[in-house]
Amino acid sequence: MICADTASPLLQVAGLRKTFSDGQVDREILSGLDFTLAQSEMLVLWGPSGSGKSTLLNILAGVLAADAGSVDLLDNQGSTWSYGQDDAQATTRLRRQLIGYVFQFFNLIPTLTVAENIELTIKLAGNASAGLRTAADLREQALAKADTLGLTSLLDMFPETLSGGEQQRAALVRALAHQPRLLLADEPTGNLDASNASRVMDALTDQLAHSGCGLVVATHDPAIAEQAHRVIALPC
Amino acid sequence: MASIVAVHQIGERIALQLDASMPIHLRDAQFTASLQAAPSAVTANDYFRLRSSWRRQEVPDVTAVVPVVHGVLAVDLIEGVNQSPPVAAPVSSAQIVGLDWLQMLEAGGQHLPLTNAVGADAQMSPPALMLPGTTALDAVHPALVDAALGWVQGQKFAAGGLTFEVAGLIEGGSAPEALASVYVDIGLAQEALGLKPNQLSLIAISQNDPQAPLRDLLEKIMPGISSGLPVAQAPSLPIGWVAQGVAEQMPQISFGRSVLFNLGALGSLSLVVAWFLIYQTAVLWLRRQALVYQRLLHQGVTLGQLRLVFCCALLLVGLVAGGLGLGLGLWFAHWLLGQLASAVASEPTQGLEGAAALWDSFGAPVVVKALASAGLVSLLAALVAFGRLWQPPERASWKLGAGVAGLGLLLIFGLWRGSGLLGAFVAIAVSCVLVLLLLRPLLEALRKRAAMLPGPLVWRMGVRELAWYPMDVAIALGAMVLAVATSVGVGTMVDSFRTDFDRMLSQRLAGDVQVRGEPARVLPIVAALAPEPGVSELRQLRSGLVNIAGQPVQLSLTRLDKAGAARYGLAAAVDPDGVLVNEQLATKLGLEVGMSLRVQNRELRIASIYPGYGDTQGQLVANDDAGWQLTASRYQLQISAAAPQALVNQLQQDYPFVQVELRSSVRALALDVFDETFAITRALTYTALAVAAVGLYNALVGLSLLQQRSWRLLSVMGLALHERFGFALSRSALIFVLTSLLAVPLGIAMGWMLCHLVNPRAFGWTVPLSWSGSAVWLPLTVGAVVALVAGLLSVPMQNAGAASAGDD
Repeated sequence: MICADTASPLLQVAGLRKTFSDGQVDREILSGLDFTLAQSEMLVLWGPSGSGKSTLLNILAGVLAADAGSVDLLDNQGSTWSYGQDDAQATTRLRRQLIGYVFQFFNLIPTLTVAENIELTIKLAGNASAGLRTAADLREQALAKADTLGLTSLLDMFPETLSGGEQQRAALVRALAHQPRLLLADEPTGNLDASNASRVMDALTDQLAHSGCGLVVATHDPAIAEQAHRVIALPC
Repeated sequence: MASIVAVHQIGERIALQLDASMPIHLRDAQFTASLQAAPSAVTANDYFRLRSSWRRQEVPDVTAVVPVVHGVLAVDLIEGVNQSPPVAAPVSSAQIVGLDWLQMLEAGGQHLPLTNAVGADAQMSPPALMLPGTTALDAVHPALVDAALGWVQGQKFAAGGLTFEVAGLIEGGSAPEALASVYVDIGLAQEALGLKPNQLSLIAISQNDPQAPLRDLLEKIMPGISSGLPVAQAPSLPIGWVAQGVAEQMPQISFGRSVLFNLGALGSLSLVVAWFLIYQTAVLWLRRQALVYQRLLHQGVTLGQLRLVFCCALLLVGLVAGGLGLGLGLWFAHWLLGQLASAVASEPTQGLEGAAALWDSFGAPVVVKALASAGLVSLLAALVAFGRLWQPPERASWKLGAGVAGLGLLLIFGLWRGSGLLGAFVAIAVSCVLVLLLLRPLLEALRKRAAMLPGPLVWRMGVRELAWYPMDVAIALGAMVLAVATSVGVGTMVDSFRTDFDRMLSQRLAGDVQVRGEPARVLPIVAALAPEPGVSELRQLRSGLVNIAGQPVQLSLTRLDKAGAARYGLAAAVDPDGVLVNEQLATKLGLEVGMSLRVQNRELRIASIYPGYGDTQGQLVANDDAGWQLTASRYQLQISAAAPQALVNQLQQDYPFVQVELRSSVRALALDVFDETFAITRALTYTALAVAAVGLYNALVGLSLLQQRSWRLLSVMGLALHERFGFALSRSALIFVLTSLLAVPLGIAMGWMLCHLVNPRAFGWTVPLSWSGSAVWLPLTVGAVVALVAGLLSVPMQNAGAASAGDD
């Protein structure tokens, strides 16, 4: 188990509210959610379908605006990024440099090779990436991570030619390539066999240990929940 | 649909104008008969000889043989109805047409010998032909007159020393630019025109044409289509006689019908592009419904039922589109007619403009055509899309077969002149299909080399997206290629045509003033102008019919010195025994430069073959000398003068029965008419481009919807808006490159086929292909803008996909 640095919260979520409406009926998904996430901490969002796990992840990722509340994320230089109700456009830089996202269904860009998928993340992060590392450094680390996950021979291949496990590992390398401060994972092992699931989770926890980033995982998998420092159960 | 409806409405209006341009007495006549030995001289004896052969059934399929006399005369309205005392009316001139009046009386006035058009259009009653007290010796004779003269029944007029009374009015009996016609008894016409008692102008022949009902039906569906069909076979007349098609003698009508056919073909282009659009929509729709259909299949609904539901839905869309197209098409037609202006009729506003006139011709055929076209196009698109989605076709084995078959068809219709105008358009259509068949393999080849693509990642993504989903974009790209290629092709043809037309005008319109008319009217001018000090040159050209290898051919005699030869594009004077042959005659008789040609027992050598712009019949031009025995029917003067405008004014005043025009006016008018004629073709090609643009946008939106997951991912990764536009830009760039790559060669090939296949078959002369940059860059620029706009407009759909991330 990795020890979370609870003294320095990486992420602070306060009073987060989100309601969806179909024009006739309003459905409150998040009702005043508060929590913090420390550096190197793994937090699991637990709850049935429709409980708001993906909605929360999307708000944390800055692609969805909450109706109320705030999200504060600490970057490598000690600056705090406040968002939550901001327009998605305003959080573009945040997403490029500070956030890594792993989805259930692999989500590689089908028209880019594995190497290009990884390269895209690095390019988008730019030279001002968290940790003041250059693109060359990031590329080197990403290739090392790809090698660890057995992807070196697959780098020039397009996603459609890879197996599900290979795609998810490639997606993981892509999500970690720019050394994000906050890792978000939406059912990262939901579509994998036990062996591949284990490799993916090992890679995620390894990233926590070495980079000090925080990890928020939405899952139904009790095995993942057991690895977490904390579990937040979202009500139905 | 709007384009189809507009073209139909315009076509119908023009067709009515063209029908009206045909003199009433020739409307049901397909041929005229003339003597091989003396085509210009036909007598009553000849007529009776031919008639008796016909009575003896030696001329099969001929249903009527009619003698006609015609000529231009001054007519002087001497008395108005209810006008007392009679007032003098301004002097005017009219075409006097002499027909067998007795035959008309026998028919009760309901039918002219050749046509029932008078019965349908004329405001006359049979007894009116027999004026009270009229006998052969009476001083006042009945006449049917063209309503365009503005006279009323009962008015009297004088012509050629005889007095006539208006017995009835005829609507639309003459071309808008032609003189109004006056129909009188044949004997009276001979007398008024000063002809010998047995002299005729022509013998008209009406033939039983079994294809006529089908031709009429097709004309109703697509005005002008008959120009593309093979012409009726000439009747086999007794030895010594030759039949010449009436259409050949009415070049303006043949020309107009060919223009109509071309317009119809261009209008149909939008229909083809619309098919691509509907197909694209059907594919998109099906993809969205695929999951629902899959579930329904699992619950026991059959594939046939699903197909039926889907086709009915698309059919409904098509019918709604057809209905909307009807309304929009009327407006579009009104707008296009404004562009067309005087292209066909020399008086631009006559009968062509006005929403009311268009509304008048709005009938069942156009409604049926619009709804049927829209319905069929939608149904076909739905069936193909459904079939391909649920039963994807086997890989390209059929394409190879289609390609080989297409090449075969292209060769057959391209080389076989007998396939006519329709064959030429089939050749164009086949070449389009062949090029479109290349599109998908091209995209697939691009995909195979996708990993080697250089450039920024976002650009690579945009470019590859098209190659990744060839089935989704090939159809829209095909529509785009087709629309741009047609614009390039038509533009190239129009520019080539204009360049050549301009050159022809420069050559033929020598001198400052043109005078045209009947010999008897023009010759006095020659005599009067010869001593004029302000006239520096007076060039005469007389024309009449001669017989060459059984064909009546127009022989023009003039001075073919260096200046005269230059009128036909030659650098040097033509030898005294030299003759110039127009392309139509050369093609018909297989003549070549250097060959000998026997004309009126004179052995002539073909010095040149010149393009006969606007001619639909064979023509010869030879040096004039006293040795020719030619009964000239037309006389033309080209005069170089110090003060051209003053000379025109003077001649118009002194000689009201000849056509006197300033060279610069003729040239300007000709070019204006040319530009207006082709403005409509350009408008139609750009309409097709607009439809293609919608199709392309549709396809790109479809791609965006297909790529929603990728866009969500890119959104999470922080892809900025300008990078999305960069992506769209790269995609548009590839669309543009692919379109240019295929559309430019296809367009130029299409232009070549329009100049070398369509034009010779439609109008009888070849237009040399001239390279014109604007014909290529203009459609390409529009294509680039279309690709760019469609690409950029689809970006918000990517955002919509990216934003819909709230599912748990």
